[in-house]
Amino acid sequence: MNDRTKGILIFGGIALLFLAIGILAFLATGPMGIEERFTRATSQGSDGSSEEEGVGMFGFGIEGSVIGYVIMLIILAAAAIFLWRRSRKL
Amino acid sequence: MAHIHLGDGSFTLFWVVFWWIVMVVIVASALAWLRRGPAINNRRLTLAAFCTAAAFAVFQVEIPLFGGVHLNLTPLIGILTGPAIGTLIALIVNILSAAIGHGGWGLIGANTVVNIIEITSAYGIYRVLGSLLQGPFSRAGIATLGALTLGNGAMVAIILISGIQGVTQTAAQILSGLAILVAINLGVAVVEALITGSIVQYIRKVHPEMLPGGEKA
Repeated sequence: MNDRTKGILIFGGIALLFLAIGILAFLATGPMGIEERFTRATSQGSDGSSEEEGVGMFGFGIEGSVIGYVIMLIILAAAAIFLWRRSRKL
Repeated sequence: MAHIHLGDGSFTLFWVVFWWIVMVVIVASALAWLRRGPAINNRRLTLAAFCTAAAFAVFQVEIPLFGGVHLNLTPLIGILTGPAIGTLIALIVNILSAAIGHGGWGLIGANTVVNIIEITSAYGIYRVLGSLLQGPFSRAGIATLGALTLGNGAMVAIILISGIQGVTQTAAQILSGLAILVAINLGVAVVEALITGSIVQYIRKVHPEMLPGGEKA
């Protein structure tokens, strides 16, 4: 068995184990968002969270302020593209 | 992926300050290391900028898996940029996340420490596996699973050490509650491992010099 096959087998074995643990935990607790899981795990009331509710569609959602997310993302993307163009010129 | 989803006021002021100090010390060490080490060229700077943008973009998105979870690409950042630059990326992403209301300001220190552990361990595991395994996909995948396991362990440890204000549960009760959360996170880690493995494998094909040590394809 070469190293590549060995690597895939080790990764596949760990991944299957992790997936089984995750699915069992999900089946035991039912569907709930990450904040709800934290709230339950720590028995906090909903007032304990300062996180903003996001919006979403098709099950996907944005955490926090969507406008803030879009603005930040545009700034970060612009900075990355600027640096990329500058590095190509040099 | 491991992220303390508690609001401001969950930790006492002492622990908020404590984790901020720990984070500042690590960030200062990373900056000192970067100043003493080889100069950061434009290519590395550009890579860091793209990693920051990608991590921020992905981290805010709740994915409809196991009821709603996040990815955060910290293992990928660790493998591509290394622990020092990765530390700075983790700090920026956590500050920007808090700025848009995802996570409390007081928890930036603790959450950045968790992310730094993920970044550093992913880089370390990936490098160590280099002498044992050949395939970049499996190396990156195993590094991701290992790093996210350690990150989840750190997250639980930080919560248990710090305690949560206004909660009457014992540490054992909190631990059993968090164990379910960690189990869910391990399932999600597989998705992140597949994504990280695929990206690292692709990069190794097209730009192997971007990987640690400038691996040959």
